[in-house]
Amino acid sequence: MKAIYTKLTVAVLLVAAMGIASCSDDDFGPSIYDTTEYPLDRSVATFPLDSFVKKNFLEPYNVRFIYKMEDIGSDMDKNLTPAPYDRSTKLAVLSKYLWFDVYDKYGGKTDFLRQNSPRIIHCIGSKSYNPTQGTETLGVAEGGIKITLYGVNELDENNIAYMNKYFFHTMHHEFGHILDQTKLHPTSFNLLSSGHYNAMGWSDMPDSVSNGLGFVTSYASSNYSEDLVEVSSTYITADTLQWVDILNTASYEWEYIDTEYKSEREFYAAQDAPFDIDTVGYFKKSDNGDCKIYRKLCKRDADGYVVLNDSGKVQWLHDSGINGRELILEKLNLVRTWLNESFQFSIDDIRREVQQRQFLTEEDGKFVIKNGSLVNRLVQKVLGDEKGRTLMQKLLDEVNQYKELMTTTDK
Amino acid sequence: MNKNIARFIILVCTAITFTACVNEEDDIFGKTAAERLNEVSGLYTSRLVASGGTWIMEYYPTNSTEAVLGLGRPILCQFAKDKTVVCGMKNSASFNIYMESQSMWDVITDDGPVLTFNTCNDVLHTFSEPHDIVETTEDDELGRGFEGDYEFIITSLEEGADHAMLKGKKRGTYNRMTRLPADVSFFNYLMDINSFTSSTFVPGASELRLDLGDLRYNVSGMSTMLPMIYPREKQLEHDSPVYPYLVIKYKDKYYLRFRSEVGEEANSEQEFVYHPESDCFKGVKDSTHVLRGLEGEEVPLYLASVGGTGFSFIISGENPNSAAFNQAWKDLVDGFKASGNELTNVVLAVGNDGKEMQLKISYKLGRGSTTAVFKAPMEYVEGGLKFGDYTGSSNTVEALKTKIKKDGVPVLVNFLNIFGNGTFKVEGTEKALNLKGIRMEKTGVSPEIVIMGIRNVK
Repeated sequence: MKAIYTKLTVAVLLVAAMGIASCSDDDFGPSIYDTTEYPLDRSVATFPLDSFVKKNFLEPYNVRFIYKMEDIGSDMDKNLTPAPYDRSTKLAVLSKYLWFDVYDKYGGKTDFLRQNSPRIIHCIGSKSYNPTQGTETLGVAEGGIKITLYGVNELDENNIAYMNKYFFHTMHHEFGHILDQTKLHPTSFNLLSSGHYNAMGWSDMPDSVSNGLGFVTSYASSNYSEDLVEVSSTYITADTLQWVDILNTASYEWEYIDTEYKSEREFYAAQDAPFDIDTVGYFKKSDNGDCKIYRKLCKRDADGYVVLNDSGKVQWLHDSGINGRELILEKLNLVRTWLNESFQFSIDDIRREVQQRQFLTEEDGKFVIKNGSLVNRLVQKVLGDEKGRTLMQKLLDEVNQYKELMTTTDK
Repeated sequence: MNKNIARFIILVCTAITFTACVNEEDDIFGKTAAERLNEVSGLYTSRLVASGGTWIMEYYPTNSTEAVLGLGRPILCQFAKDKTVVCGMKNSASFNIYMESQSMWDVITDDGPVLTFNTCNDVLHTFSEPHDIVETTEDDELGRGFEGDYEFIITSLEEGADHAMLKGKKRGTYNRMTRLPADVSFFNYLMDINSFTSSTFVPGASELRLDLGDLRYNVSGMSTMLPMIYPREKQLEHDSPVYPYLVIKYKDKYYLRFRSEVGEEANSEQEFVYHPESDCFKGVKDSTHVLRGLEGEEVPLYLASVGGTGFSFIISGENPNSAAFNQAWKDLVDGFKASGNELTNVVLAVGNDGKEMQLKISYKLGRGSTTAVFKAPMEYVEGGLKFGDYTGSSNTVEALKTKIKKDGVPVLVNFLNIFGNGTFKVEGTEKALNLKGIRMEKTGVSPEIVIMGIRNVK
């Protein structure tokens, strides 16, 4: 009898197991979006870009690249507008080229981005102003899921500085937040500039003053979380000359003083020409109307005139005890270690790859410098390209190739 | 026996287990929610693109009653099946230059059927951009802009209908669309309605009258596109209600539609159609509702009010005046000639908040020209205007005589006396939205003196 019960129990369990197995027919793959039935209408004018983003973002990484703005997916308290199709197209190919492809190469292939990339990239055409603070939001990362990029209306491949500020820097900045939200950074980072963060007044501070305090940008001085991702994104996107400039600026200590002058023009007109901008200072009017001069800290007499040393040089002072340059490099080292240990990639590799994709290099890999600046590779002709295309045109052809598949409609 | 029990139990368990996997939900609707939403999208898409897909949208960025945010904007749209849309406009937001832009559109279903212009359109998104508004002088809209919508809930669009109603998703303004012929020229259409509007409602025109059954209103400031409408028995106040409006052309007729209904319940009207034969607008819902110009005694009443200030009328012997007045005119012309001068112009104007009549006589004095102004008090009397004695002018009759060569123009006194201390029955020369002229008939005199004045529009 016991044997029967045993057999019976085994049989029931077996059947139940089969039943459960037969019910679990859902395949919990990596995608939360339906990548097989994604409806692409070949008669719609946006078919080429729709195909490109499906092929290059949705299918490999499970990422929705939304360029047809969905206002419910944006900040409804703000007035924002969609991006033009042509500029969204450029942003899509550049996002792949300067972001996804780079991390694919150095960040652990496709799996790294599948696990860590945002699920949604939302392009907004207009800028996102914060009228009460007098600031502008360049991008937003929400819950590790979504990155919103603003200002696409003004995307111009000829203006690498604008693109760096609004898009590439923002991409890496917001991506940095996502990584931070995925694996927490070392808490020792938070202590490096403790007591110097200024959540409310950072927008009134020029970048150079912030550099002197050990921040790569003024925004970095708003809180340690922004500080962290500003270090990584600035290091990745600022070209060699800009990065050196930041470190040089950070080598000095800065002071800011009140001034009676009400405009930049009025202030500089009152100075004896020629003057040294570092000692005379930078004029800045804050949103509340206060006018201040930001200048490098140096030895001055009672009347405020610079006291030169015996060699006729300015005597720079360091009173705060902060070495901005060393502090920035220390922060970078922590970020470097964190990314290496948590995500197994080298920020230096990422930086080098991004730089080489953005800027023209010699055959030996050295950057080409013209008129004191690196040369924008995107608008240069691609060596050996049989069609004589620029790099941007070649990238755009990855979208244009889908035009051949379109069906015409009677408008 | 036990084996049979065991087999029976296994069979039952197997049956129960697999039954649990059977889809228990009945197909109550036949289609999934997604399919039904897609159908709705397709339905409204097909209705929008039908018959060429050309529409005029009466677009109101916000419900504000102040310039610039409250102004309506006519925007032409042509929706294509490939989901491209071309928009065109010509208004102050485009610095009155024709502007056209192509973008993408779609009907999405996130809040009912929603028409979205989902890639940047330089025409429509001008009103959603957060930039500072260039046409205002103050740099105070950064971050807000016009605050207009570019996603609209389709509240009505029937099959084959020529009208659709859209509700702005964020601002809640109602924006009507009217279907136009597919081949309409955007530029010509906008020129047409702009020209009609600007010539019908000219700056400096008199107030209009709005008759809605028993309800009577005055309409002030139509040329601003933000008119104030207030009960006729009341005075115009700075906070009188503002009713923005737009004019469109549909099937060869001009339609004027206020942003919201005017009046109360049965005696209310939102849209009017222009009737050229009577130069007025009649209600679409009730044709007895009329938006019209001044009529009858409204003319002298208006002239003798604050609103009448600045109105002026050209008086001339070429006008169809009475014979007695034409004779006086001829005498005046001859009198100026005899003194070696030449009469060029006589204008009767209203000044001092409608309390003063000004007779402005211009003449050539040698190689130059000058204007003598004679002023007299003015007041409304039943059906007309009464002028008093000439007062305190810098150019009195005597002064004028000394200025004019030789012995002056003695007959000028006779001419001035026709007006001074006289009472006139005054009415408009024709029923019209704009007061085009007045007919003045002096009372209590013989022979009859009738003076026709043609509205002097600067």
